[in-house]
Amino acid sequence: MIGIGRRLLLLFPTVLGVLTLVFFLVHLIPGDPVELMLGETASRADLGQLRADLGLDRPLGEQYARFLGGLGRGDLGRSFFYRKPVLAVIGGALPATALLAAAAMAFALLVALPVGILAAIRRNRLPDRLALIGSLVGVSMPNFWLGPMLIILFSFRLGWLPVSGREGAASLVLPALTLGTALSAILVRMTRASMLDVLGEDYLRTARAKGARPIAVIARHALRNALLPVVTIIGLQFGALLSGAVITENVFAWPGVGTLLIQAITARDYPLVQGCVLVIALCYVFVNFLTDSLYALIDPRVRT
Amino acid sequence: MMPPRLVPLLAATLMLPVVLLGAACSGSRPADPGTLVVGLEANPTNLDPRLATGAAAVRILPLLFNSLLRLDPAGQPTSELALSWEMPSPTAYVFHLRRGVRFHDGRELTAADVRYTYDWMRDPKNHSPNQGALAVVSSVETPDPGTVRFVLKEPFASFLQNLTLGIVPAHLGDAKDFADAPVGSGPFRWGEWRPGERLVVLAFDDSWEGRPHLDRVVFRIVANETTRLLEARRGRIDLLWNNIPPYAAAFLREAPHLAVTTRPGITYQYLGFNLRDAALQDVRVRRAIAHAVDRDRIVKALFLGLARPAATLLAPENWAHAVDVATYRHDPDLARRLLDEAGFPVRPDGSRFALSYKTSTDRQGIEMADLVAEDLAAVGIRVERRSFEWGTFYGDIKAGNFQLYSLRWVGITDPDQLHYIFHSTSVPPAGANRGRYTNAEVDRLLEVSRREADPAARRAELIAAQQLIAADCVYVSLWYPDDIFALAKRFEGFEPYPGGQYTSLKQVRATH
Repeated sequence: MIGIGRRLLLLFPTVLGVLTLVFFLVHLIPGDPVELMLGETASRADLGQLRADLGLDRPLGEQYARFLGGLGRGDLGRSFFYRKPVLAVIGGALPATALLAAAAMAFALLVALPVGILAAIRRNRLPDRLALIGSLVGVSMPNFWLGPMLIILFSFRLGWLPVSGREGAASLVLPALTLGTALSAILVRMTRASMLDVLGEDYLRTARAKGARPIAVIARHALRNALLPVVTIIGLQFGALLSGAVITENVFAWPGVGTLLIQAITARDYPLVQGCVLVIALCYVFVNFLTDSLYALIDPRVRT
Repeated sequence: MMPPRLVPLLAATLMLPVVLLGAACSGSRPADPGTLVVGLEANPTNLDPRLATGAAAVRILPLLFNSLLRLDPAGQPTSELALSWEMPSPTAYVFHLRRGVRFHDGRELTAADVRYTYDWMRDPKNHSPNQGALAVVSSVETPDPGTVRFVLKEPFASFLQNLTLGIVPAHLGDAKDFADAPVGSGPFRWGEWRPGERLVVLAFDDSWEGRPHLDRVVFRIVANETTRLLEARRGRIDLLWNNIPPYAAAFLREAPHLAVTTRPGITYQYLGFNLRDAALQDVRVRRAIAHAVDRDRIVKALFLGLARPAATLLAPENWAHAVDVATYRHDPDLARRLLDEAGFPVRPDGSRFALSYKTSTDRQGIEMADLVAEDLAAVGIRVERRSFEWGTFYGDIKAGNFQLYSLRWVGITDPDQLHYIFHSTSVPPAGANRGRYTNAEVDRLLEVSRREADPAARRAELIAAQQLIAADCVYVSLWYPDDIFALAKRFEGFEPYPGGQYTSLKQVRATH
C-alpha cells in the first residue's frame, strides 16, 4: 500500500498547481468585478472603497498569499455576486453535477461493456462492425450538438421526456445520455481491444479445455484482465466528463457546478471561479486516485 | 466463437438503457391554472433590492417589493407607496405614504422603513449599486410615520426616477441572510429559491393592491436559447419576455397554445464611435459611415422587419423625444464624397482606411457587425470585426479602447440619461460617454435641463441637445427592435414594461 500513500501525497502539488494557475489566469483576464458589482453609476471613490474592502487593491502576490491562507483554514472566501460564502454556493450546485456525472458514467459503462465484449467475441462479424461504426459516430458528436438533437427527438417529436430542468428521474435521462455518449464510445473500443488481447491468451484456452462454461470463461477469466486498461481510461476520461458537464448543464438547464462556473467567469467573481475550479480539480484527482486504487484491487501485481 | 447463451444476456443488457428511458417517460403534466412558469435566460443572483444588479433580478423585484413610485408602462413615475407628493422647494420632496400597507410578515410599512432603506443604500460601507444615483440626496427625514421628506444637495429634475427602488423592512433588513428569503410588501411573497434553477413566488393574500389572480409564479432559469424556445413550444414555459430573437417568433407562433405578441419597443441600438480616433474625430467621416449603413436591409435581414428606425436615444413614446433631428439616409455616393472631402481618398488597393469594430459574442451582434462591415466596404472602409466575451468587451468599451462598437440601451425612460451618456464629464467610470464626446453647448443644455422646474422648458432643452448630438453624429442611431413576448393562451392580462419588468404579472389571470 506504499503506492497509495505516495499517490495521496502527490495530490497536493497537483491541486495546488491547478489553483495557482487559475488564480493568476482569472486575475489576468480583462474586466473588473467591482465595476460589474457597483453598476455604471458608481463614483471612483465608491469603486476604490469596494476594491479595498475586497482586497483587490493589493498586489497580486499578496492576494495570492491571502487566498492560500484562507484555503489552509478551509475558507474559500465569499462570492462577490451571491454575497455568500463560496462553499455554500458551490455546495448547492455540487450534488446536481455529481448526479449527472454518475448517471453519465453508469450509462457509458452499461452500454460500453456489453457492446465491447460482444464486438470482441464476434470479431469482424456484423456486431463488431456495428459496434465500431457506432463508437466512431458516438465519439464524433459534440455535446452541444447531441444535446439539442436528443431534445428535439425525445422531448419535442416523441414527447417522452422533459426538455430540460431537474424534475424527477425522467429529466436526468437526456443529459446523462448526452454526457455519456462520447465516453461510452471510447470505452467500447477500449473494451473490445483489450478483450481481444485477452481472448488469445493460453489460460483461456486452458479454462475452456477444462470444461468451464462459456459465460464463466468470459466473465471470470477474460473480463477481469480485460478490465484493467478500461479502468485506467475511465479515470482519465473523467476530466473530459466534467468539462463536458459544463456544456451539457447549459443545454439542459441543469443547475450544477458547470452552470455556476460559466456564471462566475462572466461576472468576474474570482472567489467563485477559484472555488469551482478547486472542486472540479479535486473531483478529477480523487477519481484518478480511486482508479489507481481500484487498479491495485483488480491486479495484484500493482499492490507492491 | 460466440457462446450461444451469452447473446441473449448481452442483448438484454443492451436494451436496459432503452427500457429505463421508456420507464422514465414523463408524459405531459396537467397545467395548474394558478401557476405561471416564466423562462429566464439568466440567474437572478441577488434579490435584495438594495444590492441587486443585473437585469434578471431587477425585473423580478417589483413583484416582491413596493417602491415609493413606480414607472408605468410608458415609463412615467406614478404613485405606489406614495399616494401623493409635493415640492416645497426645488431641493425638497415630501411624500405622503399610503396607510395600511403590510410587509409579508404582517408588520406595517411606515416612513421609518423608507428612511432605513434609503439611508442603508447611501451608506458607503454597504456598497450598494444605487449609491451613485443617490449621491444627490443630502438627507432623508420622517416628520411622522406617514410622511417622508428627501432633501437634495441641488435641484435635480429627474429625481423621481430614483424613487422606484424597493422598500425593505427596517426590522429585518440587517439580517445577514435577508437576501436568502427577502421580505417585502409586493403582490407576491417569497416561495422558494434554488439558485441557478428556479425561483418561486407566491400570491400575497394581504397585498394592499388585492390578492393577485395567480397563486404561484415560477421563474425557471434556462440559459440556453434553443432549450428555452423548445420548452415554450412544449408548453412547459408559459411566458417568454425579453429573450425572444425575431427569428424565433415564427417558430413559437406555430404552437397552438401560445400567443406571440410584438409591439414597438424602446430599446435603442446604435453604432458608437471613438471621437479621439484620428479618422473618426472628423464629423464628415462619422456622417459618411452613417450614410453608408443600409439600415433597412439590416432590419429586414436580421430583425425580419421587427424594428423601427431610430434617430435619437429617446424613443417616440418618450415625452422628450426629438423629431427634427438629422437622420442619415442610406446614400453610398454621398458617403464616398464625404470621405474624399475628409481626406481619405481611395488607395491603390481599393480601400480608404481600416477600422476595427468591436462586439460581444452575442450572435445577433456578430451578424449585425458583418452586415455593417459589408456596407462600409462598399464605400471603401475596411472593417475588421472583433468579438469578445462580454466582460472583456465591456471593459474595453469603458476604457475607450475601441474605434467602432455596437451596443444597445435598454429601457431608457428618463431623459436625464442624455446627461449620463453625452455630457463631457460623463466619461467612464463617471458615466457612459464612452466615445469621449465633448460639446460645450450640449453640456450646457443638459446641465440646465437637470435644474429646470418647468417641464415645457426642460423638454425644449432636451430636444435641442438631441438635435446637436444627432448633428455631431456621436452615434449612428440604428433602430428600436420590437418587444416580443409569448404567453400561453390559458393566461391573459400581461403587459410588457419598457425596462423588461415582470410587474404586470400581478394582474395576469387564467382565461378559463
